Amino acid sequence: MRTRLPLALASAMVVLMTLTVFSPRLAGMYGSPVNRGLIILGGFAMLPAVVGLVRLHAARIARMHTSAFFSAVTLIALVATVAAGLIDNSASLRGPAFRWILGNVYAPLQQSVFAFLAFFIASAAYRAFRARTLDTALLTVAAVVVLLGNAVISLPGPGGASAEGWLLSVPAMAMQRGIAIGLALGIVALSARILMGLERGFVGRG
Amino acid sequence: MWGAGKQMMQKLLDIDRRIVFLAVALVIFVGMALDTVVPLPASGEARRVFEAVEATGPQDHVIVAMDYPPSSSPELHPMSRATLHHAFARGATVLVVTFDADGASGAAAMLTDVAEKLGKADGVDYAFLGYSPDMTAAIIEMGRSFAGVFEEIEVDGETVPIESVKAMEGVTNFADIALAVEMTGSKKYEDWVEFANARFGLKLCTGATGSIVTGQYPYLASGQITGLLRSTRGASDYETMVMEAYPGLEPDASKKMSVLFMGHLMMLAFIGLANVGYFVTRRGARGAA
Repeated sequence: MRTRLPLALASAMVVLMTLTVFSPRLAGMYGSPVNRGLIILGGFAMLPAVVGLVRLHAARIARMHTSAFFSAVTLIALVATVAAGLIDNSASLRGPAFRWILGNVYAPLQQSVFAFLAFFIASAAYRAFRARTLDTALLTVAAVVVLLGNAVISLPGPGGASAEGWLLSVPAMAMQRGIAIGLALGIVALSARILMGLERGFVGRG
Repeated sequence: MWGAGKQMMQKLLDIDRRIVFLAVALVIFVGMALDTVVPLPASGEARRVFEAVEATGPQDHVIVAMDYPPSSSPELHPMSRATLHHAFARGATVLVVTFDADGASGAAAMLTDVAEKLGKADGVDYAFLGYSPDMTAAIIEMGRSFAGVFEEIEVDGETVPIESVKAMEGVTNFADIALAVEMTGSKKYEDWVEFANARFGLKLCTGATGSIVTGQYPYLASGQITGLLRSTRGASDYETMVMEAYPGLEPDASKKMSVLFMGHLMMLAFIGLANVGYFVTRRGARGAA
């Protein structure tokens, strides 16, 4: 029962949601309520995440773990952000307290961490782009062409396009298409397995 | 003689990473200090975004989706700002939505900032729909009914039913939207393409960070994405076109291009040095053998 009921529910939902794509009547009857239910569930999904975060860091503080200080900072930040949201009471997150936290704490921190990438990418490019073999030579030439294109110096490419534009819209696109089609086929196969009850990983059975 | 030269070439292969870091920092500071706007010819992809927004008018509704957190905002904020400025200048009614919880507050702040500069009224000329979890379900539902996802929205600090908002007059679902411009630094564009465009026929343009832009080219080639803003370069191209056509927009990405220009040239120089060092030392090693 623990396995069969979730499998039957999942299969039924796959069939129902597939039919809503082809039938406007079914879409009206079931599509919207299911979508709204998913949005509500998505909101509730935050709750276990917050509970898990609090439990993990509270345990670290209680055990005086070496990272207890950072756990305390995490919990204080969590409480302060939630409190700011409650004080603002703005559904669209436009309140002054929340905006202050975002503009003066969160955004600068996130952008600073992200900005470190510039240093590491420069160092990695210097070490990685060496024409040791034919493959790495091709990679290096492609990287140089795209870098030049991004740095205002576009080289002429086939068919009147810029060289970096051609690289992105022909070879890179072909590779991306291959990945996208492969992924789509994988999703179709997985959906078919769920529909037939063969995929049991999500109910704890291999 | 060759020994000294070889030693020097070997050094080119082993430049300390701290020197690379220092060079990057120097180039960034010099680029920022110069504060110049680099004139660039617009790419075809950016021109198509401009043309798509340019084709809208006072009778149209344009969605601007800012699906990115603050970490991606240096690349994507200039695109969003230029798009908002352009759509407002065309007289279109702008609807802003975000499917990134971290980015909701920043999106609201930018919308308010641009709208106030252009004298646009909240709830009349534009509406901030806000954030919704479960992006896929939300987009599919918006294809049927906006009210199904955003029953109430905030206008001038008051929470009101979406049906009562003037900016939403005549808008039920995606069929009533002339254009959506989506900015993201993640895979969120896929839901817009797969559902909003492919399933509901919404005309779509996108703006992307450099790290994910290659994934959007298949959709650009198939016509599912009408136009594409590629990283800061795309933002600069589009921004320049908007500034020329509709004065009042301050240059942002165009200024960043001078920093990028110098940064990229510096990286090219390091790559060049490493390859010169590699080839010379390899030739020397072969000669010795």
